[in-house]
Amino acid sequence: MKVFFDATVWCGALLNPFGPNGKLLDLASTGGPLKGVTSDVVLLETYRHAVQGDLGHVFDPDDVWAYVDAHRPLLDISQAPIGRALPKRTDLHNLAIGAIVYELTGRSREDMLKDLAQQATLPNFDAHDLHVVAASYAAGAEVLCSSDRGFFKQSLGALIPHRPTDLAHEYGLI
Amino acid sequence: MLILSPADRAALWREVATSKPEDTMSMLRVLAKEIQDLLASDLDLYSGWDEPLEATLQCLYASGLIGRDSLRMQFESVGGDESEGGTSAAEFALTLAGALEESASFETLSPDTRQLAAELAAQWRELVASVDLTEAPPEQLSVAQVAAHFGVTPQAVYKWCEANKIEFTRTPGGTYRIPSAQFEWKRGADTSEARREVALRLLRSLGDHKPMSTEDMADSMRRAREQSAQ
Repeated sequence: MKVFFDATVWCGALLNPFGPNGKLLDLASTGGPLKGVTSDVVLLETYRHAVQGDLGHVFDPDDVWAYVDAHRPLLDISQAPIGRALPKRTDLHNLAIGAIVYELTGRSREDMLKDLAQQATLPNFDAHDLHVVAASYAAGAEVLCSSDRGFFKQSLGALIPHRPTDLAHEYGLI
Repeated sequence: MLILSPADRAALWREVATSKPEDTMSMLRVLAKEIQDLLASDLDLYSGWDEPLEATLQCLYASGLIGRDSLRMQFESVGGDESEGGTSAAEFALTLAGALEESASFETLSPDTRQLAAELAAQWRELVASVDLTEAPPEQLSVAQVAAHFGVTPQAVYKWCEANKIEFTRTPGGTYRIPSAQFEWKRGADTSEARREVALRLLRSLGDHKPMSTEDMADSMRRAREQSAQ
């Protein structure tokens, strides 16, 4: 199974490296049954939150990069197809999420576009999160692992959101 | 060296888990000695392991995991026939490593105890790897070999098998055999040491910081993002 990890997973792992988030990233960094991917934008977000103190603790930048670097096999991913400037693209505002991802990445799977009618449209979806969905599709991930409750409230097409604790439990890590 | 019967081992473990505080240290020492005797020949656990073993049990006692039934049952079944649920010495050592790592994740424990638990877990994993693993994997792997290589517990590997997350076969005797060809065996192997080291570094830097809940953390990240977007 291929899983995309967003910044909440990385930040959770920094706060508790032996907790579910850390265990998932560790396993996904090996050649075992869980294939992990992430994106450059996610890592930059992680870095910013960690060193700015948004996590209730100010991390040493060297420690953050050392942690990211130690999980290098997860980073075999091209750059995220979009940045966070997406809300400025007004031409995309009434499209379904899957259609936007298709427009932006030019890469999709048929099932991503299959349930367009059921998918959230951009005005109903936090556009700042779309880079995560787009990068997940671009990387061919089947699962989006996140603690952000926003992802669990709306349809992401074929992409299935999973909370880290649920996924860690499914793989016997906790 | 006298090895206790499975029933006596279970009784000893229960006695330790329910011992009075004033008796705990001496009971933990007795249990540590019994574990050492049990694992000694398979894992070469003869010298230098008295202290790590006692420290292991102290960490598990501090985290409360010593009261976990699955841990006691594993201890009870060490050396038994695999077709009847027996556990190998390597599997039990990796189960201890997993329980120590879990203890290291407990935010209610002191930073020193969490740090010690993480270091001991690494020591157990290294021990099993030194005895049980080769650089090029054999065609068929045991559960302990898979667990040791991917840094998980044997119970996790059994779960992967039962959930068909990995391919496996069982011998007529019930032993699990896992084809190594399905794995990218060397992927991430060169960074496993770095992962352990940086995790310990982070634990040290966090000290007794009590992290917010995962949901609160995600909300805080969202608020910070919204503020920076304005």
